[in-house]
Amino acid sequence: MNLRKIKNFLFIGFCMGASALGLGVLASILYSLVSNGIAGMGWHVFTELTPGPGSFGGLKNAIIGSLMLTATGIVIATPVGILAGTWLSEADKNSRIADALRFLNGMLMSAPSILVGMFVYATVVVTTGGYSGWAGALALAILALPTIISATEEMLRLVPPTLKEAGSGLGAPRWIVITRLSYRAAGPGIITGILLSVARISGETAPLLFTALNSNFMTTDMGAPMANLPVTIYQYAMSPFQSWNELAWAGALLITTFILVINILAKALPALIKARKVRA
Amino acid sequence: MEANTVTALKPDMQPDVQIVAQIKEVETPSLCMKLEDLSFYYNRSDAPALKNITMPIYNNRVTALIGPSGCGKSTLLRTLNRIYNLYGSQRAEGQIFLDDENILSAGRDLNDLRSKVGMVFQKPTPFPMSILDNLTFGLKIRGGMNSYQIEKRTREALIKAHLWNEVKDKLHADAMGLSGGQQQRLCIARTIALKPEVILMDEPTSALDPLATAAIEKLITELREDYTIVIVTHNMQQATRISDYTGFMYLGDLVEFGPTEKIFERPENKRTRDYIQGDFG
Repeated sequence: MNLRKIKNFLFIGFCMGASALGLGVLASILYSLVSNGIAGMGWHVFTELTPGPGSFGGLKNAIIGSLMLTATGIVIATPVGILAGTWLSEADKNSRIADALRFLNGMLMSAPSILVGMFVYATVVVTTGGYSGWAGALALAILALPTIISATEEMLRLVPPTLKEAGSGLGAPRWIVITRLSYRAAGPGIITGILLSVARISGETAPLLFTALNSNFMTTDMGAPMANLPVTIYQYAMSPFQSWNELAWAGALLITTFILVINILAKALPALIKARKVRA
Repeated sequence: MEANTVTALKPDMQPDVQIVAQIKEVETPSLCMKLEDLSFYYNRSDAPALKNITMPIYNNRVTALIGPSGCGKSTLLRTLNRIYNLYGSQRAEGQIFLDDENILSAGRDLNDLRSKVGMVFQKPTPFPMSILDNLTFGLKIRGGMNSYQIEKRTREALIKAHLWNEVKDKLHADAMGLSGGQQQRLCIARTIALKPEVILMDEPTSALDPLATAAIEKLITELREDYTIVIVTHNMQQATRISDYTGFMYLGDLVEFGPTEKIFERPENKRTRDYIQGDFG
C-alpha cells in the first residue's frame, strides 16, 4: 500500500469515526428518551393534572397550555413575519434599510432564547404586573418571527419574475400580483417555514420561565400563569420524586414526537400540495 | 429613399421628418402606435440600450422585430406596455403614442395601459391556479363585468386561441398540468380575453416544439384580424411567415424598418443584408 492510499484510508476512517460518534450520541439520547418515556407514558398522562410533590398524576394541563401558547405565538408571529418577509423580498435591491433589517433578523434568529424571555419579562411581565400566558405567547412569537420572515422572503424571491410580469402585464396592481400570484406560488414554502418555527418554539423552556411561568391548575386563561410542557419537564426532572421524573420523561417524549411529526409534515407538505393539485 | 422603407435613422437625420414622410406614403394601414426618438437606459449610468428609435406600428398588422441577441428587441417590446417600470432603475426617454396619447407621460395609469397593451412571454407563464381562474384573472381585476359576461368572454377567448376543445371539460384543473404549447395558448387566450388593442409577444415560440410553434403561428395570423401584434423573434423564417412589417435592430439602433417582403428581399442597409443572409459578425 502506498502512502497516498494510506492517507486516503485514514481520512475516510476519521470521517466515518466522527459520523459514528455523532450518530451514536444522538441514538443514545433517543434510546434513553424512548425507553424512559414509554415507561412513564399512559392514558393518565393525558387525562390527569400535574400532581403535587410525591403523588401521581398526568400532564393534561401542561399539554393544553403548551398547545395554546405555541398556537397563540404562531398566530401572532405569522402575519407579522409574512408581511415583513414580503416587504424584504419586494424592497429595492440596493435598499440599506432592507439590508439592515436582514442583518438584524439574522441576529434575532441566533439570539439566545433566554434573552428573549428576559426582554418580554422586562417589557410585559413587569409592566402588566404578573406572569401570564400572553407574555409567554409573545416570547414564543418573537422566537418564531425570524424563521417566518426569512422563509417568506426566500420563497418569494424564488417566484419567477416572469410570473409577476405576466400578472402586471394583465393590468394587475402590485398588491394583487403579490397576494394572488406570488403568495400562491410561494405558499407551500412559506407554510413549511411556519411549521418549522412551530417545531422550534414548541420545545423552548427559557423564554417561558420568565413569562408564562407554570401552573399546577387547569387553566385556559391567557392572562394568568400557564402550565406548559417544557417548564414542567424542567421542574419535574430536577425533583427527587420518582413519579415526577417519570412524567418529565413522558413529557420529553411527547414534545420530541410532536416536533418529529411537524418536521415530517413540513418536508412532505410541498409534495402533498402538488399531488393534490395534479389530481384535481 | 425607396418608398415604404425608413433606412438607418441617425440622430442627426431628424427622424420626425422622415417618419412623417413614411407614414404618409403608407396610406392603407392606419397607425396604432408611434415611437418617436425613444431611448432606454437600464441604469442611470449605463449606455442606452435603445438609441433614438422612431418607428410606426400599424393597426391590424403583425410587426416583427429581428436582430442578434442583445440588440434591444425585447427591451423595445418592454417599453410598449411599460413593464420595465416594475424595476426602479430602468428609464425610457422620448415618446410612444398610443391613440395619440404619449404613454410615457408621468401620470399614465399603467394598469389601464397594460390591459390595452397585452403581453405574451418567451416561456409560458400560466398562473398557479385553475385554467378558468387564469382566464378570468385580468377581467376580474379590471371589473365592470358580471359573471355571465365574464364566462362568455373567456369562452370566446379560448375558442379564438384554439384551446376550447382541449380544455372545455377541465376548466377547473390546474393550468400547470397543460403541455407547453397549451400553456402558451392559454397565456394568449388570457391576454385576448381582455380585448387589448395591441398584443406584444416576446419570442412566444422559442420554448415550444415545431408542432406547437406552427399552431401559435397560425393563431397569430388569425389574431391579426382583431389585434395589432408586435412580435420579437430570433427565427427569421418565422418573421417572413407571419409578419407584415419587420424592423431589424442592431446594438440598440433600429437599422431598417419596412414591409417584411422588402426587408428580406431587397434590404437597403448592408447590415440588414448581412444578417438576413446569415454572414453576420
